[in-house]
Amino acid sequence: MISYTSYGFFLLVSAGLILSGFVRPKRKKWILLAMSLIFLVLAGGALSIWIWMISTAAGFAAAFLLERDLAGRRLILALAAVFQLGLLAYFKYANLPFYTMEALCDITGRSYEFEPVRRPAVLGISFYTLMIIGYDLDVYRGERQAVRSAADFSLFTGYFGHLVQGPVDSYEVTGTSLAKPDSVSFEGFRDGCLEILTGLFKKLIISERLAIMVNTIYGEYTSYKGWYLALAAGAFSLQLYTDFSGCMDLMSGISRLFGVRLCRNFRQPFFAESVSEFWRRWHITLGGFLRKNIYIPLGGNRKGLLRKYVNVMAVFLISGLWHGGKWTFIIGTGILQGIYMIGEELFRPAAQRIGRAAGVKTDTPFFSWIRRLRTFILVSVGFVLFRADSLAMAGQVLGGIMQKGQHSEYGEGVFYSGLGTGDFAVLVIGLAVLFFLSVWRENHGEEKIIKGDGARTGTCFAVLFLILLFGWYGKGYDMGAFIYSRF
Amino acid sequence: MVLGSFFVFLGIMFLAQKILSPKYMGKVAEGNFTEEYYRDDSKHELLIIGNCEAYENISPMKLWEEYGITSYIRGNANQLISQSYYLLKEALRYEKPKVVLLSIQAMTVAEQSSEEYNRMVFDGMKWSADKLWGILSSRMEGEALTEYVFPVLRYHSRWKELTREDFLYAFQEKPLKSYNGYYLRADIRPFTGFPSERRKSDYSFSEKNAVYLEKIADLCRENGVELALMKGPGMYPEWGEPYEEQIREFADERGLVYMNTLLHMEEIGLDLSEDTYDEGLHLNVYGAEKLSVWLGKQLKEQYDFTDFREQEKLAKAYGHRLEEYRREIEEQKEEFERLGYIRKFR
Repeated sequence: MISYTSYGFFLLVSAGLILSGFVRPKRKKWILLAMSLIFLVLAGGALSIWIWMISTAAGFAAAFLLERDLAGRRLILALAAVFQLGLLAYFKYANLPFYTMEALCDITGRSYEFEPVRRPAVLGISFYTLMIIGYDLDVYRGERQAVRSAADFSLFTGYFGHLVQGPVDSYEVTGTSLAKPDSVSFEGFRDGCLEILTGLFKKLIISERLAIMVNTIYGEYTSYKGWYLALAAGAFSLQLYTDFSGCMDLMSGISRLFGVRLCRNFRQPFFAESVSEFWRRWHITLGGFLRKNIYIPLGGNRKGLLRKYVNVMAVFLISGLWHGGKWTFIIGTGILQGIYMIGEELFRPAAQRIGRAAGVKTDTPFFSWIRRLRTFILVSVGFVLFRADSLAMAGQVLGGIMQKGQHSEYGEGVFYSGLGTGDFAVLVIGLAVLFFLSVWRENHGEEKIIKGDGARTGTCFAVLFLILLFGWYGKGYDMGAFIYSRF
Repeated sequence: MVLGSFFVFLGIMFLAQKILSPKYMGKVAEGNFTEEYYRDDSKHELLIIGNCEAYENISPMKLWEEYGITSYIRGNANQLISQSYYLLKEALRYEKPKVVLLSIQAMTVAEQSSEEYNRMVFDGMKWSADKLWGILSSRMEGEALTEYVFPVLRYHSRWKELTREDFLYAFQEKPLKSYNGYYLRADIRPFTGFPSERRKSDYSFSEKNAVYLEKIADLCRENGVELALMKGPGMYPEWGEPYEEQIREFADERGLVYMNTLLHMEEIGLDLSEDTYDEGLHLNVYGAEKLSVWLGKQLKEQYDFTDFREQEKLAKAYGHRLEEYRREIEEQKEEFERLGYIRKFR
């Protein structure tokens, strides 16, 4: 099996780059398509390629019908969407009724055991299903014409760069870029390399070390209490971010080497001062898809406050459901986040009034950081559910945080987290570097930190050296298990 | 600028690789054995190939001392038959021994049990098609060829455990850890008995091992080298009668000499209350010398070995090494008698 951080994948990319050096930019799409097919076969197997072909063909054909002025366009759209979602549901949500029973039993304190229905994993189905539906909807609404080239459309849905963890790209941005990749300058190539290295830095220097801490403590969550569990909860939020955004940087960088643009998926989410802002900075393309295709068609905020809140909850319910057919996902990244957002809206005026009455200036950097911390904590609570195997486990972890600190007698390393002193030091330094980069990006946008040509080239090699040396990869370690690839 | 940065990067990676690669200067010395073969530029009339039953049970120093036979052991921990084939194939490019003695215990080992063993076999091997095919023939699931090409990718995490020796021997030649491939142990842990043999449902050798045994025999024949087979005196009850029959049949078909030392323990004079350092699994130097005396006699009877003790150059080289060998035996013996153990093996 091939994964994004396997030697095989980098070999595939290298071969593609060498080949694309011999062809004109407009022919690069064929190399990208061939690479995507190879990736689909090697990473997903034969079933993945069949399902992808069926989905793609259905989405492609539907767009032709939706483009025409036919009487039954609405029905065609519904059928196309049901077909795509049906496939997704078949492979991803077969156990939802059982998980629902399990969740109900968790809540009522009963025990419920079941044998899960085993369905083979289909690579990328969660992502291309949304991309295809989004594309068909765009054509239905008349926002774009149906794509005439089956190859272009296939490349859009099956592109290896967004198959495993997204982003949920739009045809407008990525599809057109894939169909006609830009020519790549030396500077563009080097900046692409820097983006790849940023991704590897997040994944191999930070995320994998956080994973050790999280897995050690969550693996024995009943033996840890108090701040140890809080540490694991916070560490998991950071792990999820560095893992997911690291993959996005990696894929965005690789795409740039081929002259392809991917949609941006993260914008310093932990700098958000509210939960609603957080979700505009986290998994931006999924949020954008849901906003455009669910929230606004449902009426958005145009039909009164109550309807708005219903729409918000609907969006987050679907978001949670998309993450997985378990109630830990549905609540953790769905319902709970919706409740937060509605709560923020309801309580914000009162909080502002209290602040004004007390004469406290809340628009200061200090209060900004307080709000960021509050957002981090709120979101992390949701991620505790996301990480937990069951609602009961999530309840125990969250309950345990409130108790007096206690660690497992088997836990080793710094803070009994399973991480040795050297690795803990690398983690802290890595997080500090990431924090510095994030502050820079927040304040300076796309402006480069290191500007000189030579300095940027030198930085590339220096960072590569540090990753090769201090990265957490190698024997006995599965580099490819990016967390978001489950979705 | 790019080229300059690239070369600086390569230089630093090279340095890092040198420092981070394990030096095997402690208890685990086997990682040095493959590489040490290249440091002996003399030719050998006897080449011994195999796993621990070869490099822990036979002393080339004793073979020299008693019979003037020049020999070398190309053996490693858990060295598979396929790996023995590629190490032999490579060795035949450097020299043409009269006899190759193959320790056949590894015929019972179908697959490698730990990636570290593979690394110890191949890390020290010079790059050639033999090394490449050797790695491909025996690599375990998840073992990447890239990590053999660039060992820093395999050993990068050793930055946490670097010792003085890692820096010292990064660019400096390491002291030899073997005596012509022999792993010297002078401590004693008497044999106290093993549980009786557990019967297996299938005693056939794996297809791969059978193929590589054939290849070894063919390789020797093509190169005009005599092949002899040997089962070492390991007391662990694993060498069932069906194994013995298959090897004997193979040897008979091919007209090869086969010696099962388990059948000659008394004749060899092995006393496992004092000739083993790990309760009967392997011999210590006292046992290995007894076995070597017996083995040398058998080989001399079967093959026309030259007594090189009168050749000045070889006598000087072997004499020097023999002196070191005797000194180490005395040092280990003294330490063992004083402490009851030998520090470097703990």
